[in-house]
Amino acid sequence: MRIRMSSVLNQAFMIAFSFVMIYPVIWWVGASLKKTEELRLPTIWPEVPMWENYTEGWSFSANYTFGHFFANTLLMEAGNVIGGVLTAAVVAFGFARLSFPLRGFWFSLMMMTLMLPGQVTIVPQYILYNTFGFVDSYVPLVLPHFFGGGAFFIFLLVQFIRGIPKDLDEAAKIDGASVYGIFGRIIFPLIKPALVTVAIFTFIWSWDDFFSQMLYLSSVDKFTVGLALRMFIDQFEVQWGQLLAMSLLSIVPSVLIFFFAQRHFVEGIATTGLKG
Amino acid sequence: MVKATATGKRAAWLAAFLACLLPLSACSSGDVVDVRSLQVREPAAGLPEADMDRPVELGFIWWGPTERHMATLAALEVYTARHPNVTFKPEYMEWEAYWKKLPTLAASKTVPDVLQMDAAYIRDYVSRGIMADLSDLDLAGIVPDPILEGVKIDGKLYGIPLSHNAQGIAYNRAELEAAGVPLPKPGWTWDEYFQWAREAKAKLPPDRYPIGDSASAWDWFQWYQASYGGGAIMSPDGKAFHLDRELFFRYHTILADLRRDNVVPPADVTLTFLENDPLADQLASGKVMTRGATVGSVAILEQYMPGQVDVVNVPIGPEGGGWAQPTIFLGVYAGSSETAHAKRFIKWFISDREAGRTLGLTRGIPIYGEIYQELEPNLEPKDRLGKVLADIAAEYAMPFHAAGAGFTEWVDAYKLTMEAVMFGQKSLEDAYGELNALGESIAEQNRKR
Repeated sequence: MRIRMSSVLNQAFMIAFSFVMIYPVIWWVGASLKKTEELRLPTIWPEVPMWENYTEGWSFSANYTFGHFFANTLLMEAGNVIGGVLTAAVVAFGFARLSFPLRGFWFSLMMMTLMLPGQVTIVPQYILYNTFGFVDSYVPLVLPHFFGGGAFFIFLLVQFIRGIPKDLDEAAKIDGASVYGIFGRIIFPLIKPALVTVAIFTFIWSWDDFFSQMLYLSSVDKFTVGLALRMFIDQFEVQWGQLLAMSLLSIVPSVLIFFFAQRHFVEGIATTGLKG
Repeated sequence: MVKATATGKRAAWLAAFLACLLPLSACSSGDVVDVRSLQVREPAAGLPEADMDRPVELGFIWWGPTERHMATLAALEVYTARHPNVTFKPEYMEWEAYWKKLPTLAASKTVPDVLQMDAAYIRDYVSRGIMADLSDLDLAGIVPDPILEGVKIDGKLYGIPLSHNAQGIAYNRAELEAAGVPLPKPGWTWDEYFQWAREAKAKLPPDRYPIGDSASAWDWFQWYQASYGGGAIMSPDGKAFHLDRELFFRYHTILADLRRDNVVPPADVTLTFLENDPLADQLASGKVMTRGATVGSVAILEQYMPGQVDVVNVPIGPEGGGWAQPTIFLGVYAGSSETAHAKRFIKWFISDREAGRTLGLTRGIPIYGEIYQELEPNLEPKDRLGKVLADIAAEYAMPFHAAGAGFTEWVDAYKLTMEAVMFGQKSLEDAYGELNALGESIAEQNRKR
């Protein structure tokens, strides 16, 4: 009886606490259905829900709907995730398993890029992409992910691969596997949990990377969801209802990905290696 | 094994050295910003007619809300219909994104031919050599001469004004009437303003305040100082600085008394206000009955509180009060190879009837009087309020003074220092001493440059 009492208390506490945490989202949902004048009232729910915020927000621009912007963003994300996962795995495999001249030097050089503030590379990078005529396309946003996906991910995967016993590589070698065979048949399948982590972070970080998208995409036809959301805002005027409605929709993909990949995600963080 | 580690260490040092070089080389690319050396083509008059007929693509970048984007795109189509050889490459975004993107475009010399500019930033971009000199563009009869003279920088015209702007005060007419408070009187003086606040406070509910606490807003004190003949706090080039001691003490002592008597909100409440936020704006939230507003920003209050807002001038002194001046411009990139076309387009943009009808009031009250008169019968209430404000303010307006070059730091310091005074953490004497010393030292540095 005492146990049941305490678990009821536990549950009640957790429900209350969860409510506090989720309250802003509830406010968000309510506010997305309000008229602009109603926003300043201290109510959660509008008197008459304005579903027009969703329908009008969805097709706020004469030529495009938000479906178009979602498609754009998902297309860019597909490139980023594929590029990040594949190349980070290859590069990490090289650093973790192959010995080549100056390996330590190259690895430190790569790690140094973690300390390089992003701001100092903005202008040189922009000049570079502009010279090649890649501005106003997805190339400047996607291409960098095909160069190892970033130092952080390579480091993460190197650590993960180091946890895999070398015996497996050697066994494969004895069976006649080449370097590529070892990567493709042994290492790549074993680092899947870590790759899921890389995929999720790549997805969420590039979904949120407003600055680069703003810098490189200038025609509305190519806008991502983040850029499209900013079209509701100006210096003085903000169409709050539509903005809140569409931004609520804009987090849906990230939330879905997180829910579905959560199991692998936790595995990727918790698994430190394999037991022989 | 030991040797390998040593090599690794050496390699790591080398890597560190190389990594240090990278930011250095990025910094030294500062000279990329300077485009003063770029050649600027001769104006339209100097070009043969045939040159104006060859195919041209003009880049045009602006900020604004969706409404402005749609109207501008439609206007560009009208222009292309008139001049089939001219097409456009438009880029448009909102205010924040615009000022994040433009520095990169300027640094990489990829600014579009025609660009929208704001009074707060134009001096900066002129000094970086981004804006072309447009002094030879003939705008007689389109833009009134005093306005053109007012927006010149060092005697040259870099931005063509698009609309009128002015500073005034918006007030919650509905609630003041409900409480039986007499409405603010156009042309009120500072003494009348403070007196009105005391009388209004007596009639309002206890948690409502007639006026906000402007102690930490440097521009409010500047209006006060200028209206009593003390001039601007700093010159546009930032080389002169004058914080009038007597007026500073008079203004802040009045505010301190009002704070003590609970006529303005307590300091902690004042700090929670966030302008234009539907929940936290001091006027829109209903807590304060008045606040400063410009022609460009008053429309949003009308949206939050339809039919409840009215406007009045900034309190005046012997010299006048507030300011009235265009703050939004079109300019031409100094590195553009299509200067002649860009100029012809800008002139058309502000003076053509059809352009005027297409653009409407999406950039404020059009600078060309004839176009405004044509639009007037079909205005929305929010636009009408802006016009009322512009007219009231123009009657008493003083020149507009933005923060001088290099004074961003001082503006931030003013806010922090005066907030400390509002909370009783610092005496007025100390605050004046610190702000005066900081201002003098910045002006001194500017003079040396």
